[in-house]
Amino acid sequence: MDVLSNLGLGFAVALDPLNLLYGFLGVLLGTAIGVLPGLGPVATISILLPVTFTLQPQSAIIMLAGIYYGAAYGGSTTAILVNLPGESSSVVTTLDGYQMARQGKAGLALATAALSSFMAGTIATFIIAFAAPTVAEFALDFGPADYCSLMVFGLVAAVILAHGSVIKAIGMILTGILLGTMGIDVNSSLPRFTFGVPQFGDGIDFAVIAMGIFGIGETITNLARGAEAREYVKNYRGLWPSPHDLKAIVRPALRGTGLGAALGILPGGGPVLASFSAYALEKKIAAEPDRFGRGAIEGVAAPEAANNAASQTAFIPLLTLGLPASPVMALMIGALMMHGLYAGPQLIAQKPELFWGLVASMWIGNLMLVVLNLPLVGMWAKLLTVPYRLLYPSILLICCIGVYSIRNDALDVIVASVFGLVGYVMTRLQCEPAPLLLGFILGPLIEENLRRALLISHGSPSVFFTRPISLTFLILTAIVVAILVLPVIRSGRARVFAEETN
Amino acid sequence: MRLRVSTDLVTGLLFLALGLFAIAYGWTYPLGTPARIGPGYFPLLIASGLALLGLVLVVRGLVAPGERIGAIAARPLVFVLAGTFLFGLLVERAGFILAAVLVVVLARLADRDFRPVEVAILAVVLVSFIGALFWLGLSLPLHPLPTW
Amino acid sequence: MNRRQAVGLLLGTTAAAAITAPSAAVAAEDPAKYPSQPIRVIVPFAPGGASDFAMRLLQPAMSQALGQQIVIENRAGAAGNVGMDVAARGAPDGYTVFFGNVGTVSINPTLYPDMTVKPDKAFVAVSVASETPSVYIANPKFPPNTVKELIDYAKARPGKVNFASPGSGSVDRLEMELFRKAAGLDMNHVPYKGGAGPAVADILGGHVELMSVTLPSAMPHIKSGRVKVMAITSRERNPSLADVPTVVELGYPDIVATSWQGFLVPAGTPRPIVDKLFQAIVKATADPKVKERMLEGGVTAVASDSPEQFKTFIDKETARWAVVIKESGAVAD
Repeated sequence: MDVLSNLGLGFAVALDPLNLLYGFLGVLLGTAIGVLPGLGPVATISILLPVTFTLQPQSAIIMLAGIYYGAAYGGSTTAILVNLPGESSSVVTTLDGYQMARQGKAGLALATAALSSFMAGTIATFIIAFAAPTVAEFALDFGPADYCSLMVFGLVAAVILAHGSVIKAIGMILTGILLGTMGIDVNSSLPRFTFGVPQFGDGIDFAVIAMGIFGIGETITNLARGAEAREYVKNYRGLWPSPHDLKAIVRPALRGTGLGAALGILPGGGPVLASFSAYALEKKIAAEPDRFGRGAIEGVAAPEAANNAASQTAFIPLLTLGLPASPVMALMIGALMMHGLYAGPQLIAQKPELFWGLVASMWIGNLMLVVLNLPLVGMWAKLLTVPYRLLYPSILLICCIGVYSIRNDALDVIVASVFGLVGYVMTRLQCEPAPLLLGFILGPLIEENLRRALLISHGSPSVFFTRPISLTFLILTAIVVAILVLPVIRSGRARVFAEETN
Repeated sequence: MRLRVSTDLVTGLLFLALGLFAIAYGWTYPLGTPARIGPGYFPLLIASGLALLGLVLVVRGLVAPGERIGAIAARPLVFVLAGTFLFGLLVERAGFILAAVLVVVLARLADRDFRPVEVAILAVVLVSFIGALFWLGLSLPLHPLPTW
Repeated sequence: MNRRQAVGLLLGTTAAAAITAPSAAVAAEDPAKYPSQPIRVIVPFAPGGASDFAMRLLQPAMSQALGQQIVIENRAGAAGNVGMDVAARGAPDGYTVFFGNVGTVSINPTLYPDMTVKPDKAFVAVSVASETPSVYIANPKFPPNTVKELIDYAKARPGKVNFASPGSGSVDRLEMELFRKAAGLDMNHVPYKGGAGPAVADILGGHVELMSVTLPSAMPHIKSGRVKVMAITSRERNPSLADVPTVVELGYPDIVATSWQGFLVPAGTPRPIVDKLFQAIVKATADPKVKERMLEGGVTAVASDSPEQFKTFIDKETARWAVVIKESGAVAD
C-alpha cells in the first residue's frame, strides 16, 4: 500500500508537464547521440550535465536518466542496422541483430529490441519500486573475491557465444584480456604496453576497438565478397513482429530481464555481463543452438532486455546507498550534488518526490522510447535499401569522425584503422570478435579484483573457496567448462578413431 | 608432405607471436608476491596462455586437415585502410573537409565499380552532412580547413 | 573517467559549453583592460566530480567580480594530466585559467615522472579556492572505535589491518600513509579505482576495514550510521561533525592534510592580470552563498593570502607528497 501511494506521488511528479518535457527531451537527445557511434552514454551525459544544473533537481535527474537509457537504446539501433555496436552492452546485439538485418528483417529486429527493452524496463521499474533496499544490501555482500569469480564465470560463459572453434574463441578472449592490460597500472602506476605513447596511458577506448573491427573490418570483408553478396537487403520482409514472433520474444526477454536485473546492481561490468550472459543462456537452452549467430530472434530479445534491465537496476545502489555502480551513476551523484542533494539512504526519506518521481519517470521514459522508436523502425529499415556502394563510404566516414570525437585525438583513428586490419584478418581466420571484446571489458575487472582479493586475504587464495558467493560462481564455472570440454574430448576421440580405422 | 596453410595454422602462429611478444615486452614488469601481485603477473599469465594455445593450434593445423585460407582481398584492404589511416593523419592539419573527402574517395576506389560523378556527389553530400552534424550540431572542435 | 570531454552540445537549448576558441590573438592586450572577453577555465576532470563541483559554484561569483563571462571547459583524462597539458599550452594572457588540484599539481609530478607538463614551470600560482578535509572511516563491525584503539589494534596485528583508497596515488591513500608513518603502524593498502565509490562500498560491505576519504564522499554514510568516523584531518573540528576529533587533537599536528583546488595561469601571464584574477577569487570565495553551498558538501571555500603564498603552499605540498609517494611505493621505480 505504501509503495502504491509512493508510486502515486512519483507519477504525479513524473507526469508534471515540465518534467514530461524534460524526460522526453532527454530520451530524444540520448537516442539521437546514441545512434552516432563513438559517443556513448557516459560521454553524452557529461556533455549535457551542465545544462541540467539550471533545472529543478527532479527535472534534472529525470532528463539525465532519459539521456542514459535513450543513449543505451540508440546504441543497439546501429548494432542491428550496420553492425556497429554504439557501446559495449550492444556488442551482443550485433551477433544476431545484424544477421537479421542482412536477411531483410531489420524492422523485425529493431521492433524486437524496442519491445524487449520496454518489457524489461517495466519489470525493472517494479523491482526498483518494491525491492530496492533489499536488493541493495545484496550488492554490498559482493566482495572482491566474489567479483573475480563472477567475471571468470562470465568469460567462460563467453566461449558459448562463439559458434566456431572453441580454441579460437578462448584465444580471442585472451587477446582481449591482454589488450585490456594496456595503460597505467592502478596499483603501481607503472605504464604497461604503452610503447611510450602518452595517449595509451588510459588504455584504448572500447569504441575504438569496436569501430575498428566492426565498422572498418566488416566493410573490408563485405567489399571482398563481390557485388552480389554484399547488398544488405535481398528481400525485404517482416517489418512488424507477427503474433508468432511475439511469442518467440516473450520468454527470452523475461529470462534476459531476470539476469539483467540481478547483474545490473553489481558495479563494473553490469550491463555488459548481463547482455553476454543472457545471450549465452539462450544459446545454451535453445533446441537448435546453430541458429544463433545466423539471425535468431531470441539472440536480440534476450540481450536487449538484459542490458535495459541492468541499466535500470544500476540506479538501485545509487539511490538507496549513494554508491555508484558505474561511471554514469557517478555522474548522477555529481548532478545531485550540484543541486545540493546527496545520494544515499536519507535521500528517499528527505526527497521522496525525487526518488519516486525518478522511478515513475523510468517507466514513462521507456514508454516514450517505444513510442519514439517504433515509428522510426520503418525509416531505419528503409535506410538499408540504399545501395551498398553509397552506404559503406558513409559508415567509414562516420566511424572515422565518431572515433575522433571520443576524445578529439587523431591517434585513435589510426588505432581504429589498425583494428580494421585486425578485424579483416580475424574474419579470414574464422575468429569471432565478440569473445575478444568481452575479454577486453572483463579482463581488467578480473585482474583488479583478483589482486584486491589477494591483498585483502594477505595472499591466501582460499578466499575464493570459503566465500559462498565466490564458491558458487566457481562451481558454475566448473560446470560450464565440463559442458564445453566433454563434447570436444568425445569428438576428438571420435576423430582419432576415425583416422585409425582409415 | 606438403604444408597446408590452414586457418588454424595461421591463427596459431599469430596467437603464438602475440603471446611471445607480450611476454618479452612485459618481461621487466614486476611479478610481485602472492599477497601483493605485481603489474607483470597477470599479463604474463595471459600471454603464456595465449602462446600455449597458439602452439596447440599450430600443431593441430599441421597434423589435422583444416580449412584453407582463401585469397586476401588486397584492393579493399589497401584502399579502405588507406582512407581511414590518412583521415587520422590529416584531420588535424589538413582540416576535416580534405580528410573526409579522402575517406570517401578512397573507400569508393576500394570497389572496382568506380563512378566519378556519383563519387563526387556522394563526397559533397556526405561531407557537408556529417560535417554539419558533428561540427555544428555537436560543436566538435574540428578544423574544416587546413591549418598549416 | 577516461573520456575527455571537449565536446559541448549546441542544440539551441544552451551555449554554455560551446566556446572553445583559443584567445592567442589578444596576447598583446593592455592588462588594464583585462578582462575584455570571456575567460575559459579548464577543469581537468569530468563534470560531476569534486573539481567540477567547486568550480561551478565559484563560476557566477567570479564572473560577477570580473565583469566577464567564465566558460568552464572539462578536459578529463590521465588523472587530470590531459587538462593540465591543454591549459599549459594556452596563451599567457589571462584568458586561459587552469583549475588544478592537489592531485594534478602536487602529486602527479612525482607519480608520473614521464609526464610532459611540469606544473611548477608551466604555471604561475594565483590562489587556492577550496579545501576539503578527509575523515578516517571504518566499518561499524571493526573493533577499534577511536584512533587510539586503532593504533593498539594495528600494532598487535602488524600488516594485517587493511585500508582502502580510491587509487594508489590518490591523496586519500597518501593521507593514510602519513598517519601510518606518524603512528608507526604496518597496515596493508588496498587500492581501488573509479573514484571513492567502489572503495567506500567495500567499507560498507565489510570487505575492507578502514580508509581515509574526503568528507563529501563519506557524509551520507556517516549520517546513515553505516560507517563510523575516527578522526578528521583538518586543523579544526567540522561543524557538521562536531564530535569527531581532529588529528591535531589526537597529537598528530603534522598529518593535517586537505584535498584542495586552486587557480593557476600559464607561465608568463602578466602580473597585473594575475592580481585581478586573485582579487576575483578572494571575492568569490568570501561570497556567503558560495561558502554555504560548499559547506553543505563538506568543502571549505578559502583564498590564499597572496599569489606568492599559494606558490609556497604548492611547493610545500609537492615536496611533502613526493616523500610519502616514494616511501610508500605508490610509484614504480
